Order: sequence, then C-alpha cells, then structure tokens
Amino acid sequence: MNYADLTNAGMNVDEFLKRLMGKESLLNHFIASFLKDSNFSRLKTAILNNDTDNAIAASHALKGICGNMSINTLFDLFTAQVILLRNGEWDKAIAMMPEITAVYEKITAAFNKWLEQQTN
Amino acid sequence: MSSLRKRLLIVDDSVIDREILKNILQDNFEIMETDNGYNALEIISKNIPHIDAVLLDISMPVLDGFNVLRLMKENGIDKTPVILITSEATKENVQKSSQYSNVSHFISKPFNAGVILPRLLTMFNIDASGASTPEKDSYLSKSNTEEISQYIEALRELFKACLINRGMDDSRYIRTSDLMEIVLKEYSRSSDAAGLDNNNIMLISQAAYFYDIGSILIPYNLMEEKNLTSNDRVLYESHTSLGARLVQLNTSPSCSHFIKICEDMCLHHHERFDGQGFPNGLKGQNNYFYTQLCRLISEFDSIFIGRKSFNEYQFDFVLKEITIDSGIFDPKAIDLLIKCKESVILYYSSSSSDIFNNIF
Repeated sequence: MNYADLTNAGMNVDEFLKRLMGKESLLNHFIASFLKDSNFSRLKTAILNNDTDNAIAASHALKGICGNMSINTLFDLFTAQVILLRNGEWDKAIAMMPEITAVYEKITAAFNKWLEQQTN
Repeated sequence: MSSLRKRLLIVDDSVIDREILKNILQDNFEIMETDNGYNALEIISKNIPHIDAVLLDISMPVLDGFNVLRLMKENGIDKTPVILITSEATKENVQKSSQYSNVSHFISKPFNAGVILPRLLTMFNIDASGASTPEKDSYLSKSNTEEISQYIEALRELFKACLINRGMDDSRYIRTSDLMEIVLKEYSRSSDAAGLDNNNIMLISQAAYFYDIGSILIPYNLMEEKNLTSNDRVLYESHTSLGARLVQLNTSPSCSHFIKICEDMCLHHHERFDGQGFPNGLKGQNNYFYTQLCRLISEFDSIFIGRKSFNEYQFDFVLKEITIDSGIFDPKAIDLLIKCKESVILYYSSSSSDIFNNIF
C-alpha cells in the first residue's frame, strides 16, 4: 500500500504497524477510531471555558493516542502543551492551539482521504 | 487454539490505547478491559473470573491509577499484580508506586510491543515460542500432584454428598470426566494441542467433573424448571459464578492451575459460541476451548445416555439434535467429538453399570 499521504501528514505508518504486530488490516479501524475521538473538541471547549483540568485531561489523552498511533508531529505538540498546562503556563499553552489545530486538521484530512480511497 | 491463558485486565480510559495494547497482548493472553477505575475495582474484588494481572493507566478521569491502587490496598484486594501504564515515568510516579507492593512494572506510552510482550511473558514464565500454553508450566511436581489429588478428592466428596442429599449420584459427572479424557487424548495428537500431555489431560478431565458444582448451591427445582421467572432466572444463572467461587476457596499456589481450569468450566459452561450465552456472553475463542468442549460433551451425554442402544446411528442422531442450533458449539469441538465416535460408543457400550446409575 502507498502510505505517502499519511506519512506527509505526520504519521509514521511503519512504526504504527509494528505496534499493531504487523496487522495491516487494523489500520483502517484505528484511523476511523481517531476520527471519532472527541478529545480534540473537548480540548477546544476546555480552552474556551478556561477549564484547566479538562484541558490537561484532553491534551494528555491526545498525547497518548497520537503517540500510540505514531502521529509523531502531533504527539510532540501535545507533549509540549501538557507540560505547559501542568506548569500553569496557560497563555503559552493556548498560544500553541493554532499550530496544533493546523496539524490536527492536516492529519484528519489525510485520514478521511485514506478511508475514502479504501472504500472506493 | 484457545488454551488456558493468563488473564489480564487493561484499565485505560482511552479506547484507542486499550485496543492497541490489547492487540499486542491478545495472541498470548486473555484480555479483559474497562475504561475506568471503579469498574476495575469491582472486577478485581469479585475475582470472577480470576485476574492474573492488571495493566493500569495512571492518568484517568474520576479515579486515577494511584487511587485505584490505594483502594485496592484499603480493601485488601491488593494481591493481584499491577503493571502501571504511563506516558510519564517520572521520579514522582516511581516513588508513589513504591508504596504499593503489588506494582511490579511500568509500561510506557507510546507502547513498544518489543518490550511489553517479552516483559509480560517473562513475568508469567511463559515461553515466548510456545506463547500462552500454561500446559508447559512446571506446576506438576510430586508434592503439587499430591496436594491437587487431595483437593480433588475433598471436593468430590463434598459434591457427592450434596448430590446424594438431593437423591442423585455423580454418574453424570463421572461420564463427563471420562468422555473429556477420551476426547482430549484424541486432541493431543493434533498440532493445535502442543503441550497437552497426559498430566494435563488428567487435570482437565478431572476439572470437567466439577463443571456444574454450582448447581448444589441453588434450589434444585431451578435446575429442572423450564419456565423460570426473571428472578428465578437470575438465581439459576448464578450457579455458574457460585461454582467458580466455591472452587476458588482453595488458594493454595500448588492447586492454582487446576483451580483455574475448574473455575473456568464452572463459570463459562453456559456460554455459547455465538456469544449469546451467560454469564459473560463470551464469543468464539474468547471462551476456553476446553470449557466449550466440556459443555458439548455434557450436553451430548445428557441425551445419549438415554438411548436404548449405543451405536453409530444413535451417536449421529444425538449429535444432530444438539447441534440443530448452530450457534451453541465451536465447530472445532464438534469435529473433535465426531473423530472420537468409535471410542465414545465403545465407552458407553462396555462400561460397568456405575456410570449409568442416575439417568436424568
């Protein structure tokens, strides 16, 4: 399979497949699960409401998911954001959101395109 | 094949992380999962089915991993080993975990299958090449064998005494155990059954004798009644977990392997291959093959024993009758029983009368 679009969007597909014990057939399932995951909207809501606890929880959850799915660019961003949130550097954490959102949207667009290609 | 594998409970609020970890481990372990600490505590405290280790995420909403550990300790349910999952193996986390003697390892996120799997296999002394076959464990030393025999004998006496009080005997269960032995001997010749040696055949066959021991703990009429009220149905279905609880009362490490087999047969002998059974709705190979085999054999016997003659025609007739509903049994178990047709017919035809005493 050609994973170029996924790789360009920031996912290390080979690394993720290793974590899936080489079961390529599971790739679509996890991509669909990522698209259904609600933590990103939870993070945005928490930031709008100045809700630190929920922001930390959502950003931390996204860090775990992105790390396990080898979406490494987003993983690095959420890792940095969690540190800022835990250190009480709220403004700096919020300031990361445009970059995080851009990368997040890039990966979700690549995921949607991937799933469309698989069904056609 | 589905063998008697160690059972792990994954506790993580992220479904994606749970599924990835499950995928790494499921070829070698039986996996249960939950998304929160309170459910985890309930599962661990009931210990039915028995949990061999808990993989516990530290960061969870509502009740985090450390609070789960604290409550396990406070409630005296902290014998189960815990492996902590964290994306931050900080000094603080390591220090906090040191208060809990049941924390054995840390697993870091993102998961590294090359580290996690060998670590857990080593933890349970499972041979990586033979993966999950506890048949290879060296649990059958001479002293263990004696202790297991004593336990089986004591449990058998108890079971028999209760059956006698109900005007029954144990012939049905003797037959289940005997048939299990016949079928397992055949199974041991297949490539699927690596490690199924004579000792294991003996142990699994003896465990099959007790699969219905929970029936003595509920009113007798419920076992026979066809039209149960909803309350009675709950009570009736509880004979599975009660039986499992009863055999678990022995906590001797020497008997643990036998008890695990026995507990599983007690708890899951009403599961169906299509997942529509009880108590857990285990589907397909999620239910141990030996337990599925035990159910098939006991149901086959309950009808076959009532035939006027034991021959190939009657064998085929009974097998057809119990498999009309194709969702009950594992096709592999059915095939195995068919392979043993000749031996099974011979067993019924040539056995002494003590296996036929109580036909019901």
